[in-house]
Amino acid sequence: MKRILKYFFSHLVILSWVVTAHAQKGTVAPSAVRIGTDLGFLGVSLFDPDRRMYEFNADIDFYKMFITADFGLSGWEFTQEGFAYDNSGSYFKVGIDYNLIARDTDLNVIYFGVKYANASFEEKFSYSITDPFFSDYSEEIFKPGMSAHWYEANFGMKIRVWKELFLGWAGRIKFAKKSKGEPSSFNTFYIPGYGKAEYDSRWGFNFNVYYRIPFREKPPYKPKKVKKEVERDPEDERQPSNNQQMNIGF
Amino acid sequence: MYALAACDTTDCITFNTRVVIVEFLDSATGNNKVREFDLITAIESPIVFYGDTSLSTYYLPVNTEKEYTSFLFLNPDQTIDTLEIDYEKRIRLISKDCGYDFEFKNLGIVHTSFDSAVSMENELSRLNEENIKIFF
Repeated sequence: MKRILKYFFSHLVILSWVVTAHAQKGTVAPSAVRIGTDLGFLGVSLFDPDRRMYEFNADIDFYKMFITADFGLSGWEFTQEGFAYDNSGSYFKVGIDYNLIARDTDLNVIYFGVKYANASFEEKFSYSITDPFFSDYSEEIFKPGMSAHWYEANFGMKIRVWKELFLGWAGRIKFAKKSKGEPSSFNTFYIPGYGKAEYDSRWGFNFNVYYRIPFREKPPYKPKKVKKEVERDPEDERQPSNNQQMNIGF
Repeated sequence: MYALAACDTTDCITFNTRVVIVEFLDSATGNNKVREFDLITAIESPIVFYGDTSLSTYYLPVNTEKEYTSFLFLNPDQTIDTLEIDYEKRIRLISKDCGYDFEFKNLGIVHTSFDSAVSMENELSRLNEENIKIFF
């Protein structure tokens, strides 16, 4: 857990620096934090007795961008005839989303972004064999202290449905996965937050509900044209433009 | 999400196998050559894999509990030849419904009493034609 928090905060500091540097150009400070959870994972936890999946999400706005953070808990345990599997762990993701509709007055968001993700987990696999050629045997393999990290590219939207309540979906591709752990004869089966470990990339889809907690009025987005007019030298206003000169001439 | 999970059941098909394919060849011509044995078994096995058989290709199961297997070949003249192989065993859980299988990699010949034996494919797969060639 300490390692997770260390990674989480170090990446959050880097992301804050990047986004703040960008935000200073537009002088737009954060106006609200949005917190949420993944409804799909809640559904899995409710209807699949083998699995426990919970994911909590948060974002905070900086100009046209959002810093996002997700934290998830996962457990998967099943027993079949001749074998049993148990996996438990947690993960976090931090990233930046770019809002494509920053001028929307309802504060809806259509975004694309990138995330860094890191998972810590352990897994156990036990099996027993009735061997027709050799002796029967059973084995239990425990893999503690496993970790993995990967990146995600995501696209989605968060739509205001009532007051400060938002619903959102996101499609994502997870890639550049690397995992670490003690050598073992059991191939890592599942990585919390990622999916089946044997794949180098995975598609994912999330359906979330969010609640936005504003702490100041969000100033309207200032288009570039308006900004230019404000910054124009007053001396220029006295000089007629070429068009005006032509009008006078006729 | 459920739809994606359901797709995993198609992955039940696996080409992994615990069978090592031993092929006998004529050392002069390099062609397949029938070799007769009264019995083939393994040291750790309580059963006989082949008895009184004449073939050029034998399919022999490896011991999944260990990372080595020692095969014994009883010749018609009652002399015994041995073939000891080692390998790296990995367990691959395919899915809850499909179960698991074993992957055997880095197959090698540790010791043999045959005059000439060569390891061809170092991974056990149903797609292999042979894993070990023995010339006599």
